[in-house]
Amino acid sequence: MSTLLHCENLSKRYANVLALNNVNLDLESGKIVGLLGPNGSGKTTFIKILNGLLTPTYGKVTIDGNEPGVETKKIVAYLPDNSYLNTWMRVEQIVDYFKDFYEDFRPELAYEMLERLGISPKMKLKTLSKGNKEKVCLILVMSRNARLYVLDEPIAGVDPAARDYVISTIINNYNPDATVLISTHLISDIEQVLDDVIFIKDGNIVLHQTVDEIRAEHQKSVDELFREVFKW
Amino acid sequence: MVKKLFKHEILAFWRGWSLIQIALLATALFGRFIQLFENNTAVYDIVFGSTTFAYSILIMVAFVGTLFSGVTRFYKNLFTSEGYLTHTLPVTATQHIMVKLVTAVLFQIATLFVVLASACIITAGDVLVEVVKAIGYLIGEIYEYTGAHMVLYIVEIIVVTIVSLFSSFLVYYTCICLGQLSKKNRVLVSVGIYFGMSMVGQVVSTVLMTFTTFPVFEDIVMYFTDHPITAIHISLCLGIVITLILSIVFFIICRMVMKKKLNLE
Repeated sequence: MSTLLHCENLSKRYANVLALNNVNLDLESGKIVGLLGPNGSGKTTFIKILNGLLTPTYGKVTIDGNEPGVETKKIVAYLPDNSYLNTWMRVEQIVDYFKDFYEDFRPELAYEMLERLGISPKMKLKTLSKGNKEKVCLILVMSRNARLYVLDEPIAGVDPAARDYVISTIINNYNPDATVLISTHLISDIEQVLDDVIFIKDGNIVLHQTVDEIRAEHQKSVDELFREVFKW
Repeated sequence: MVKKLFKHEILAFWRGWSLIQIALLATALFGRFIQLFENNTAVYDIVFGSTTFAYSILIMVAFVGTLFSGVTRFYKNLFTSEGYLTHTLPVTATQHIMVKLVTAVLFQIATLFVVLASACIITAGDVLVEVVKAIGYLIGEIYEYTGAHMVLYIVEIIVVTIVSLFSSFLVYYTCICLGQLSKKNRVLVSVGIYFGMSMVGQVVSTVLMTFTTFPVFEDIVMYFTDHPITAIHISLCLGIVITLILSIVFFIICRMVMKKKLNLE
């Protein structure tokens, strides 16, 4: 498998806080990778740098050989940890928006998923509940045939039933040749779908292994190992 | 991609803008309608007076509202939560700025035409004929004095107006972008930068005006006094060049912040 994501000494400093510290990382295509760490460990900072929303203080990152920019944005589908939907559009308008800008967007798939959720394309985004807004965002992202899906805390703040929906939406709709990078601190809910795991602590990558390696080497589930590594 | 950006920008802008313009045209129409019942009663005076007052306020709201929409669209769409989507579109920073800028300027020009149309509506009839006659007379007088230079003046005034429109939006965009470099209170910092820039502008123009009183510029001032037609051309062209240079500088600053220093938190 080829390297899709490559980070070299990637660092990010906010005033006196070092949010990322010399991160070196390679991710291959075709994997579901969990970016796991407690709150404030640097997950979101790392994800924002991948998407060109933050500028690294030092080091570099490439996706399919390109630094974050127009070329990477064509192949990266990003779900932020908060809703980016505006309040004035209707659901069908935001679907059109994605269709216009992303060549890999599959509107028929988006409408199919929306219909299953009972969300009418005519509904105004501002009338949707917080949970439905998050689901619409997820549907939009997963309706892309991207090379890299970057999902920041997709199951945080949702009830257990909704978590199942989110996880099944990810699993059933992602491009199998693509890499899915899921950031979360809710390990037990997501562990069963992960191929690889990255532990991030205080801006440092402290572990990068496959789930099978973790189970074989540590005789523990990912959740158990996480609790051990990040014990207060 | 630029076409698609324009499509969505125009759609977003149109929503708020069209409401104000419809209100303006409707008020003008109402103002013209009640003139059909013109009489010397107090009721008529009150209704016509209030309509004219509302119409004047709406003209101001139309221009200020378009400026405000252009600035807030830039801020909200690029630097609030909406920015998470906007900045992950496969579009360059230059394209984002250009599309937002051109759309805002086009809507401001459109506002001018709507205001002119509303003025024609509210004054339709004898008053409009008189106004057109007065404008025609004024143009005739200016032509008599300036000759063929008048055509050049018109072109220069149109160009200086358009360049100034671009520049006025770019000033705000630059303040917003520079404010994003701050670690916190970014809106407040942007406002501070705006007042700072305005103050610097005032100081620079005062200093330049003072220079003209120096003996070394005496000949130039004398030449301008003796050749007013040429002086107006030089002033307008100088205005175009200076505003254009400033606009380019502002554009480069915005592009640099969005391309190299973006820190969406």
